[in-house]
Amino acid sequence: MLGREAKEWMRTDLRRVLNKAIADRKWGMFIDPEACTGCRACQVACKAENNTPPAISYMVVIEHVHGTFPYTGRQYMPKPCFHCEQPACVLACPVSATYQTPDGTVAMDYMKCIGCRYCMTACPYGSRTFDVGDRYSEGCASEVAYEHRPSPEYARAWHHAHHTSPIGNVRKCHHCQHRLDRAALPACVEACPTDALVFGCLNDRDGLLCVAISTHATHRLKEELGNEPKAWYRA
Amino acid sequence: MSRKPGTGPDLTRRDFGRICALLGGCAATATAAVHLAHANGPGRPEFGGRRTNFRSDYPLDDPEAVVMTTCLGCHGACPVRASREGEAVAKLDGNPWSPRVHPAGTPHDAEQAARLRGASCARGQARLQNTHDPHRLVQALQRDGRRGDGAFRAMSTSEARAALADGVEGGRGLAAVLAGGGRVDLAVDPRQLDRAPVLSALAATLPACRLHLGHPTPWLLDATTTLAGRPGWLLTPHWRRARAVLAWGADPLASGVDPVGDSIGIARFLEGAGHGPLVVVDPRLSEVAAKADVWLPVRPGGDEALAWMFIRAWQEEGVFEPPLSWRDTVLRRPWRDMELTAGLGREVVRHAARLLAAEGDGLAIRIGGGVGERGTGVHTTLAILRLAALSGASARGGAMEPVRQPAVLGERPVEALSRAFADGGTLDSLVVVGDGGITDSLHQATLLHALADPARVGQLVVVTTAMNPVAALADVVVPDVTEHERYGLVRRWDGTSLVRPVIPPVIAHDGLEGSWSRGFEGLLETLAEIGGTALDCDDVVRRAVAGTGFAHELSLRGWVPPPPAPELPTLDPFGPVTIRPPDLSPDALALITYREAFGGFVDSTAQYWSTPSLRETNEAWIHPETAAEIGADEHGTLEIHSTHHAAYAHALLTEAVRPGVIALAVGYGHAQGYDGHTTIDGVRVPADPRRRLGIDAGALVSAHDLGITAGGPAHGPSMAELLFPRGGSCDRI
Repeated sequence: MLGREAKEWMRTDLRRVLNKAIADRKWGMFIDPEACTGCRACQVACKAENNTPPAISYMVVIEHVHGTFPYTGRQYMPKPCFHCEQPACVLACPVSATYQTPDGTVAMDYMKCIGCRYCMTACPYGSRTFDVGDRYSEGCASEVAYEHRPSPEYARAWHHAHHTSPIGNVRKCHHCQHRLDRAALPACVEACPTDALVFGCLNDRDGLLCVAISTHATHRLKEELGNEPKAWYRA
Repeated sequence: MSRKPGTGPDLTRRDFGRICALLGGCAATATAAVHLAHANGPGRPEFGGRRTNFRSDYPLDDPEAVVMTTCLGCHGACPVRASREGEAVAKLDGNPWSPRVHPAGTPHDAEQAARLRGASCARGQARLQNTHDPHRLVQALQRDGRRGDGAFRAMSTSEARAALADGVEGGRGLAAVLAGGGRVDLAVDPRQLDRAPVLSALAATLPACRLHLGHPTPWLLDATTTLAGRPGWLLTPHWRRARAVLAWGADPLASGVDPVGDSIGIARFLEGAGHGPLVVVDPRLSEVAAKADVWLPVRPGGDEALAWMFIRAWQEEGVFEPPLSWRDTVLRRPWRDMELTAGLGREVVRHAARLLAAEGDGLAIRIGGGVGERGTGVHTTLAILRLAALSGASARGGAMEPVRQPAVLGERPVEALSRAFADGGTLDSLVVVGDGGITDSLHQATLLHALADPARVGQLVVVTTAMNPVAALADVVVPDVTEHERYGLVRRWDGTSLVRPVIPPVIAHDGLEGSWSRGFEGLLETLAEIGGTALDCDDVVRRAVAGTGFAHELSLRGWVPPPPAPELPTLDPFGPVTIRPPDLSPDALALITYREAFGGFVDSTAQYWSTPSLRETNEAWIHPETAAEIGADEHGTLEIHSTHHAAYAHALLTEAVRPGVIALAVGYGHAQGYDGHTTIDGVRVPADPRRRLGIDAGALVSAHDLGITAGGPAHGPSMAELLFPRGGSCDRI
């Protein structure tokens, strides 16, 4: 755990970084599986923030049981999109619907996406999901308020209605850009009760993210692939 | 080439070239304009820029839509920012600016306070989503066809009550319903805590009624029962004898099962001249933590590890001699592992352990309600209460006093229900709230078999918010309201509920309109009426809402608990203590079921909305040695048979389970006799598709069918169960 002031430290970092030019920002994440208790508050917060339909969750917590009986334990691993420096998904997209923003976020252009799902195949981390248009109220007599709420992704209100985006598009974590624009931390980071998720700018040397990465032994997933994911796990 | 006159437009070569250039230029300009508009338009916004000309439906854009309030989803009452849509709350975020997260006893400073937590857990938000779940049951149903066919016809609530009355009066009568041939009369989901006073009132109104409902901290009761070897006793602090206090969990000065008694007790303890040490375990710097000699800000979920750190420290200090079974198991856990789990260093824990051990049997341990509630609550509470046993505090004259609970709080209902059916018992009528804990139960298959048989259960009434495997077997299903609807868990400053009810709430409270005509309480009123008595649920619940709700406090207000059930033996509370490990046969192949979705410490509601780990086919965990014995390969398909059912799972070879065990994940709500669909008035209505995920392992888990002992309650991690040594017992230390 990084201490009780971690959240405010991150918020201060965020406000400072947002005053820089967009090209000087490079968002990244430090994830501490030791601190994660598997409560899945990040998952629920992500769903509530982005109003994602069934089977789509930008943040998942993977469970792993380790050890030999009777000395066993559970390990939890929060896994968002890592917003790679060299994203295989961007290269795979035939219509440039997925792209890197100047701050390094790997984003989606729903208006361009043709739903070919090449990017899902290309992503080595399984961080993308396809919106087939499922609804929680499928087959029910009435719809519910939750599903009428638009998704605020990419600075627009996306209503989950048939024949319109993002149905038929690939969806993914976008670092809650609409929150970042308002100097708020991503929903998953804000919700984490144990500060297992640290968000910040990799160019901000004084920021908690850089401090956390530099003061802990870390590793990144599938580094050998060369995608250079921007999320460091505490080793 | 020359142009023939009259054969085409009068267009010169030069004009043709100009027109082509013009058209080409227009096309290029239009394309560029579209591209530019697209790049800066809503589809691809300018990232990271502060857009001011954009107006969205995003709630954070409208400060008026954000209400600072508290989530009352549990006794923690976390401060939250509730985002409204209209007058209804749509989203909950943590509120870092609330005084509640501010260090106690210091002036409120917004900047300073913001450095503390602004996070909220998943529970409040998930329950909000459950309230608006499209699969909510909103009308009463009566069985149409054979029991278990899943066919119902819609009926009004008043018709449902009339049908219930008919069923009761049809040859059985009230005595048979509430105290008849069976031993169990009402099975109540132990998580429905707030209903305890209503049921208690019912029990008081109908003395013949033997009522079984969950204790406010059912896991605490379980653990105490396990520790004491008998049901119905709780170890509680005897404040006058306390020379040292260990306050574990929620702030006793602010909340808890017995906030009045505990806060007075601790206050008197602190007022005493030269009082002993006060050690507080709480992730938050609570009121009592601010007054502590040692404050241990445990990492949420790390309580059990911290308890074992205490025990380990006492062992190393020579305070006690551990039994052999502990030496070989739990006490061999490395310090480092426990430190990481608890988030605390060993030195500070050793220091606190020394302080407490110095006072011997004067150690009073006060455990907050939340400690025992979560998935690992049984084991956590057991470990903490062992401190009382080790220090001698739970012995006669010690600072921990076994207090016999009223009969209504004496046993988890599902356990009583399984006992009732175990020897072929029958029930004339059974009312189940929710699923009664049945689909989480170790005895799931046995219970569902019995409920499906009209000869064993004459009438089955289920009160629930959504169809579940138990409701699918019911004769009458009554729609229930959620906690958000009943109490308005998120309120505006003036007390008005911000949760838009799907079903009108059962109480008129703080601006919520409603009546007693629907829901569980209305049903109880009907039962009381049938019995010729009057039950004023309104009054009872108002008292509960006003802050009462638990046995002790009710008793302070003149509430008289019903007489204990006669079959419960009166035992010496200071008799020998036996710690009973699960009865896992070392030779037989044991089938362990667990809920993969219950891995964390958040309750099922949250998991239900967020779990990705439950799949169509979850793996069966099997030890490599066992796999070799039965010829199973990694990822190979295992076929597991019982006499009436089979399940298929891919084998996952792991040493996380002991040899001889196959561990299967049970699907959420997935149970025998329930395919997830209901037919209402001839129309097939799908249930939530997530209910069909996972293996129908519950159907297999029947001790009768397999001739084996099935272990691992779904609510507790079965791995933790397995951590206990097999067989044997250890006496009081």
